[in-house]
Amino acid sequence: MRTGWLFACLGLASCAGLLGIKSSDRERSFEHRAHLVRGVSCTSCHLGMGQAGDTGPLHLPSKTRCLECHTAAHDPGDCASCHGRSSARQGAELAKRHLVFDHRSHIARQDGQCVRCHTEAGSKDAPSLRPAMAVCLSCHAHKDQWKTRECDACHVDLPAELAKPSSHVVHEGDFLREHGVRAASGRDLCATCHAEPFCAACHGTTAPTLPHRLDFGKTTSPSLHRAGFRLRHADEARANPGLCTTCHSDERTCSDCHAARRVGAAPGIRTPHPPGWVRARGGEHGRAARMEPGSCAACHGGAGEALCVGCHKVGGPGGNPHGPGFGSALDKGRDQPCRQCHAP
Amino acid sequence: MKAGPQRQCKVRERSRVSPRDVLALSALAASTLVAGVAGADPLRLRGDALVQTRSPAPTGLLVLRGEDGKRFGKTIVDAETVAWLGAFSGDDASVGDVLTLSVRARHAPTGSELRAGRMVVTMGAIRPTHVDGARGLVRAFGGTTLEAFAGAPVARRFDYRTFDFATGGRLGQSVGDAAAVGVSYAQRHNGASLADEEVGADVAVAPVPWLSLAGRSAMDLVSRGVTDALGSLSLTGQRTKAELFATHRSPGRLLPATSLFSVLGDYAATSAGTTLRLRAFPRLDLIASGMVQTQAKDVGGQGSGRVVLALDDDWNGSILLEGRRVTLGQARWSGVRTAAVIPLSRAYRLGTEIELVRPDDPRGRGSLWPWAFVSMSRRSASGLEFGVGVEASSGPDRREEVVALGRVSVEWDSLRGATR
Repeated sequence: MRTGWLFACLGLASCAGLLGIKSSDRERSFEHRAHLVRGVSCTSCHLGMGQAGDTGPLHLPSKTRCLECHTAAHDPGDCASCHGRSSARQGAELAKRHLVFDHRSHIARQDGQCVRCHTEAGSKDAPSLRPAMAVCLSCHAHKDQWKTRECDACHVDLPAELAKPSSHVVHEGDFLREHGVRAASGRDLCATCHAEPFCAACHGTTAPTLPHRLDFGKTTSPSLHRAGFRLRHADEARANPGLCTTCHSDERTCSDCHAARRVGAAPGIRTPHPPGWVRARGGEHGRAARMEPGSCAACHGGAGEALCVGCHKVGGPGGNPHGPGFGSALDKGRDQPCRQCHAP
Repeated sequence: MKAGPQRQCKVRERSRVSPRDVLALSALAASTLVAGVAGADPLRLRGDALVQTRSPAPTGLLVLRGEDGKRFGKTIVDAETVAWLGAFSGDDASVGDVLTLSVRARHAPTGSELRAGRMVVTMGAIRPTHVDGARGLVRAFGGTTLEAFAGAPVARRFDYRTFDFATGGRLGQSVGDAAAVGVSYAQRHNGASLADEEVGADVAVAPVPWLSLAGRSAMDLVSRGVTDALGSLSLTGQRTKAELFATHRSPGRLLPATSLFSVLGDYAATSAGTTLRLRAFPRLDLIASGMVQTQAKDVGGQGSGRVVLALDDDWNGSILLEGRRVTLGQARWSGVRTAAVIPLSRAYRLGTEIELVRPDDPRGRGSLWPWAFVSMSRRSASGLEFGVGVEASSGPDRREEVVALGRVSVEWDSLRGATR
């Protein structure tokens, strides 16, 4: 029993790094706190930060600057290779690129107290010192800009920044299904980060293929048409009645693609229907058509509807095609498709 | 924004739309063309191209986008196109088609905008509509939005069908970020006959950060009844998220009323279910989803489970394992999928994906449908991205198939003075 517990503990310990409980990352956050405690001001290492404008260098300290105090270097390499995370430096580079920000004016107004914004500097193992947006908003009231989604006064190009949202718009869980209703009522909010091609890549209704492939390198991202969707698309359509028609409303969406690929259900190609599909007493086709009429209309829509009307007409062998409770505001003697059968 | 002397920042002032803004639309094409010589202006261009060796002829997707942020004062102008392209195959003509091609002028201080060209219009609860036309949006009083569109439903390759047109709009009101409601209306005519007339309502409420509700519903006015409805309630915790949802869809009403298949009656499909997400460990996500579905006398359901393991603390790389079971009417199958994104360096990423689907009733389509994909992509700080991939599968329509894919993306930004 004890041996079992021992193995279990060993297993958990070995998984700790894998699951992120104990970070296996060799990099450590820079010891900002230790410097602050000893009274070292930020600008004494980050030289020139007080004059830093919107563009220019990042003003990260060089090894020479470190050695002015830490006279005995314990490693021949660059200090930054161990002290400070590379991700934090990359984050600073990205912030410089994507944000309109001026350290010069802020430092002057804060009397050199950088910690007022970089609150994480006092933490022992903060992965990044980049202030959260809430810190900016504590002084800058951007209520009007938020309402009109006018973010580009600070964010140079928010869609390109790929910033992760921090509020209730976080796309976790199964956001793929949720996104439609969210976009319906908050389209402008979506547009803050997602440009039009992002929508058009999936919602183009004449595209006889899968535009999500444009991001084929992101294999773990969710998508409606992910992986081998083409192989199972017929079964997906049956499992989600009407879902395909919601976007692919063009009646030729299916037939065009099938014709181009020389597969069943295309004009001139062998019938895709199994034996017994149409029988004297109906067969399977009637049930299938009622459950998912869109899949029938994909090939038999338009002029192909004459095929249906041949049997399903008043006095014809197919009888009345209307389902229970059917009603319509159309004029049956005048409007299409009623007049195909009901015209005097 | 109170931009007093103590809180100065780069914020645009509110103002009315000027005639110059109106001219912005017509000038966009020219501004895009002169991009190469306008290095000092804040102009952004992006192009993505995808090509794949799909049988019987290669096909591809081309996406071009340009944005001019400051040339027209307070109006941001952008243009974009998404085109599907294909090679010649046998006796067929080219299979290229333009999905979107539009120009937009957006008045930044108010958020109002005007778009013209070919586009997919999504407006409230009504269905997405693909039109050649115009769409306008006006914001006023801080939270009221009025949208409208009009145009001709898209016909392939800029062809047109006589007497086909579509029009609609939405009136919305938001209350801060806590709530938004809207009502929408659309009608489509097919050869002068009324093909669709729809009215819809949408609502989204997020009173507190951990709770959000959303719903939309559209009603068919030609064949009276609910076309499509969706409701969702989400609870979000620090490491968990739970969602309850329900959908209702009437496949017959989703077709144009001019289709003979719309007379088959209402066999609506209704589903309800839940999705649960748990960040079990800092690098491990567990996601489970299940729903019960009904259509006429058929009762079925779908369920899936997903595990995502990150390969680093920043989630740059990850491994995914997913299982799924589907049972509704004649659709009965099980599937398992595994995928991985592995960063080989700061620039290179390896992607791989394998899926196995087993239909309960093969009907001569093969008892197992395997699909596999491997890709390599590179991203550089210069703004140039490219990737290559190979897909192999065996499915219902082809015993075996191998497809190669290639992608190139270029981004250019004059604001920073160089490509990035």
